[in-house]
Amino acid sequence: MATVRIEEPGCRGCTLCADLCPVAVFALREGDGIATVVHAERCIGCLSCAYACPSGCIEVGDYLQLRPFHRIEGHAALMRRFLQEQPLADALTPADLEEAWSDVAARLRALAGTVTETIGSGYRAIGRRAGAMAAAHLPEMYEEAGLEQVLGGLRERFSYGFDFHLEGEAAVLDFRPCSLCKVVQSTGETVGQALLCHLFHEYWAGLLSAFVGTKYRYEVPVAGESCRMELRPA
Amino acid sequence: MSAKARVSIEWLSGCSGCELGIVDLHEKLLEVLDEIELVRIPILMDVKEYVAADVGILTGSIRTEHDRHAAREMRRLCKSILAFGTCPVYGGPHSSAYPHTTDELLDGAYRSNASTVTSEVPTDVPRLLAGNRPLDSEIEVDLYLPGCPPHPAFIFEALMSLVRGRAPGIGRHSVCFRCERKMVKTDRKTLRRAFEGEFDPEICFLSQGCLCFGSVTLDRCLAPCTKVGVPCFSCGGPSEPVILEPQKDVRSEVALRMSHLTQIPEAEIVAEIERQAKTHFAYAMASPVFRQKPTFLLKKWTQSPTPAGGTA
Amino acid sequence: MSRTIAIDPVTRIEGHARVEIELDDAGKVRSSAFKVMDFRGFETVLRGMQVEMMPTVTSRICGT
Repeated sequence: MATVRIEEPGCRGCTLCADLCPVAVFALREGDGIATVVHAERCIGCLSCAYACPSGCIEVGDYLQLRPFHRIEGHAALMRRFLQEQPLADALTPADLEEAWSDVAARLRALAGTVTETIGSGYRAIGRRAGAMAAAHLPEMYEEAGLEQVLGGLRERFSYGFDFHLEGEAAVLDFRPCSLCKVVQSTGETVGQALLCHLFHEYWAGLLSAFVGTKYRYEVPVAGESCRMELRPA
Repeated sequence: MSAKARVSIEWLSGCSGCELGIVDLHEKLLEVLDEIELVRIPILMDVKEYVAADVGILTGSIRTEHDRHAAREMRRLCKSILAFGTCPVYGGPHSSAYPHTTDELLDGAYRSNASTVTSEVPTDVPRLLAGNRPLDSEIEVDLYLPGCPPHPAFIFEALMSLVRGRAPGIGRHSVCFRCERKMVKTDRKTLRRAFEGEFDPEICFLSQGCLCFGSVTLDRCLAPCTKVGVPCFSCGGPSEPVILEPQKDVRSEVALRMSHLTQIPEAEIVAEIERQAKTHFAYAMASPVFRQKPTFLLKKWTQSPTPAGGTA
Repeated sequence: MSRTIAIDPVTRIEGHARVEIELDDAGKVRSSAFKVMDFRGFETVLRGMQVEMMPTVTSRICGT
């Protein structure tokens, strides 16, 4: 069970925790309006309160957290040097990561199922749109850089399974193997033909198109244990 | 006498306010000096060379070739390095030179400065590097202590933790933790600047429609400004969630809290912070912390043709 | 014999400075220079900042 603790001197009475908590863990004390924990047992560990608290005085403990892959390692290291505390990720074993992988794989399979059921053939547009939206959130896209530098930045960020380079106008993406490969194989589908593969290819096309401002078309000349994707301006 | 820890201090590009922060330890200084021996501190002692030490304290940022050389020498000779103050951690107030080129800065200071007689750029001084950078762009740092300057309570704790080889108990709270103003919900509909109208000293600035950055600033100061009626300008640098989470940034977090407390729309607050970016990101603009999140657009915001300052 | 005396850095002051004194053959001072080694560019940095920020940020030009 998760634990929730408020360091009372820090509470300014903003009521954000009480208003944001999806399971009503908090109540506001009569009189001074200070937030108090009344139903810690309900806590689902979403951390909404901990992040919203202006003082940072809410501490949530004993909740299940997978390795925060979305964080930027350099910045996480920075925080360690403020507090001299060891990061959570160091304590994770390969088995934990394996579990995280199965979890993500299950979610992706469920996503593919949902898309097939509810959207059908419109899925390509979904993939493109997702790519275009992602483009606006990738910092590499804006750091005064040309396509080559952007790909360089992305290459570093995704260095675990991707390689990018430019061949003339074409952006060539090599996946050795693509992280989706094992997921697709686990459902018995052919790599390159599965819905997840198509979605992912459209995603890249959408992302690049949004960045360059020109529509990109793609081909996948090689698919399997390693895949190659070539994107060209239409 | 038993061996005291040797502490060596060097300043890079900064203002020496942090050295005064050490003096502000007052009586605590005696306690500190029981355990450490200051072997080099340019503001107090005439030691010109770099000397071997257990703890090296560096204040100021990397701006010139000399700063770079000094930082490397300190790293070579000191067992652990403490980045002391906002300058070495994030770049400090002069990190808002980020949108300008070095040439623009020299131009503003020497060539076309109305109050300066000469129009020559000084020669025979250390060459300026391309930009103002935090200390860790040059050397490995062991402990960060931001704050402009850090409050003596944190200085004491940080120094003692390094000398005694333990983790410092300096906390991850933000400035609001120590601010005594109460956050209340109001029906305020518009933003206002700190000089517009009267402010209730008991009530949070955000509740009263004035931008204050205490909630996104790491508390290394014990909130002295808001206690005397000045909104927080984030001189201590960003808070933990802003550093750690790519989707949390100074604008979104302040806007979330302010729009919760007032009737001012979140988007309006975000837009106003962007317009005033040069002010509100002034102390840490040079830090890579702001690059890999929506604030990577800082250069664009600070160069935007809309002058900062227009209130909604 | 002419020579140059350089004090680098000057200590027990705020900031970075260097003093150079040139002596002629007779040991008389020929020239002297006081060099400030630091540059931050506050003149330009402050432009575009809000006026309410000025008391807090300009006090960081020199902290002593």
